[in-house]
Amino acid sequence: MKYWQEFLRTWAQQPAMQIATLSVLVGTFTVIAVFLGLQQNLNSLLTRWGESVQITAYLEEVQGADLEATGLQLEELIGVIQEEKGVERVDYVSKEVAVQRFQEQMGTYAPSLFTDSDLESPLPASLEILLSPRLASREHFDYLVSLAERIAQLAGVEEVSYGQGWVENYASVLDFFKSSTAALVVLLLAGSLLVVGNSIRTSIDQRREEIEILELVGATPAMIRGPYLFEGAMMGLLAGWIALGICALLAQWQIHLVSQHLGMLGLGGSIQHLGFVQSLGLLALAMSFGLLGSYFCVRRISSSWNHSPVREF
Amino acid sequence: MIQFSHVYKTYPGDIHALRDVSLTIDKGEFVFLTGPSGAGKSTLFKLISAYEQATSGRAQVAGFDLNHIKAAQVPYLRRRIGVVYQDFRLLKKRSVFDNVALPLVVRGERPSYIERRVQDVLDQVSLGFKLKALPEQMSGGEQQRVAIARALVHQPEVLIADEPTGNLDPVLSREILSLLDGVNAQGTTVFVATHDHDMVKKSGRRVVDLDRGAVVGGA
Repeated sequence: MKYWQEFLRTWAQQPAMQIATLSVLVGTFTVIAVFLGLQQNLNSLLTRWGESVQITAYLEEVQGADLEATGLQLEELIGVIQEEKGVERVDYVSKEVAVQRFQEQMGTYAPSLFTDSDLESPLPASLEILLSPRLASREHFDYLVSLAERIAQLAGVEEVSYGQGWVENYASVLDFFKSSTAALVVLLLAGSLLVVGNSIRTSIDQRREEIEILELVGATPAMIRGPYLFEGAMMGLLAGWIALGICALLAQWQIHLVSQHLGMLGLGGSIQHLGFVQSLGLLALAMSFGLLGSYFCVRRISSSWNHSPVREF
Repeated sequence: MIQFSHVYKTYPGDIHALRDVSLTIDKGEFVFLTGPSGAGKSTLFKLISAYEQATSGRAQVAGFDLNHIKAAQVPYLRRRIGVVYQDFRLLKKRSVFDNVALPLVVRGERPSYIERRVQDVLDQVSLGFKLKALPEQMSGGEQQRVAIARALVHQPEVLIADEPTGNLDPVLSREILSLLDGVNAQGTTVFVATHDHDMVKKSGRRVVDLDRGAVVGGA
């Protein structure tokens, strides 16, 4: 109650300074919230793309026949691959199914392919290996590469393909975005410490006389620092709360824009505001940094006791 | 109550504010501290209220050993002494009640006790009717009485006053002195620094005289 009174008194005594500080903090935490939201949305989009990544193992032809012809070896191969960690499903695609798919995909460009029943499949039989967990990080990418290498070593496998170039670029984009967001957030948080610290320092300077009187009548350092720490924490919390509001409005606007202009991509569902846990996290972060900025400023506020060694006679 | 033994206070640049000060003030005594400007009176008071630490020697106040006192103990020492300054040091934007209540608030006393005690001590300094006034609306003499009320409200064992009448005319100075006499009569040890030799002579109290940082009489 007492701390609230002090907080409101500071606002009443220096409204311009408080509004300026709050505005800068709101700006800082809005940028952080927007980037966290962007990362969340990009992650969900990239994870959706990542789900389509699979390994295709092309099978050797054995003495002019498919591996299919030697049924026992095929079952064995599928069994070995399914034993691997992270393999969700293994589907066998015969030469016939492969050529059928090819005809369906290319039929519009070369209609004669559809009608030519004598077309002999130039495509090998293959195993389509679906992975779990989905490809959404550098670790998953590294695992995918090592798994593909192991499968390529298996008897009966001619070649392995998993869209190597695309997957690598995709993993690099994920890495870059995550690290650049982290760097930006750290930079902005460091800035927020300075802003809160500056505001509290001004507040302390204006109340220097009051602090000296409190020391004079026996207030402990904790009693003197308390209102300033509370002020910093509340300032951070308020800024975080306003930033979340702004971020929610921006997300609504983006959803509206995407559904209006990019509706055919079906991305509307991928754009979401920060979830409850993330929002709570941002508020806790804003409050902690408000508190921390204030702490750095007030930790030496009450140093009226010049404690140095005394020589005794 | 206050015991200094061969105390020196030297500031950087070899400035000797106090030299070999030995002094004992017993419980319930009323002692004046006199001396010209720069004699070291304020430095001595800073040592007593733990704003400074002696460079060497031994100092004890209200049972606290100032040579070995920890920073965390300083507030508890200050709760056992009352301090009055020439420039009053009141919170200008807080009422008389708030100013006087401050030592009790920091001690965490109950609001009902604070209300009763502040009223009592303000009655004692004849300002019981000015609870809600702001210091800025009061005369110098009244402000000094508020400062004395604040120094007494927590019933300290020692009251130190650094030139409490320095800003007041002779009539108001006598008023303040008689107030301090009353405080001392109730058992509080009073130690007053002053330039006012007439006041000191008339009081007939013990006088400690400082000159260039050294005690030259009355220790």
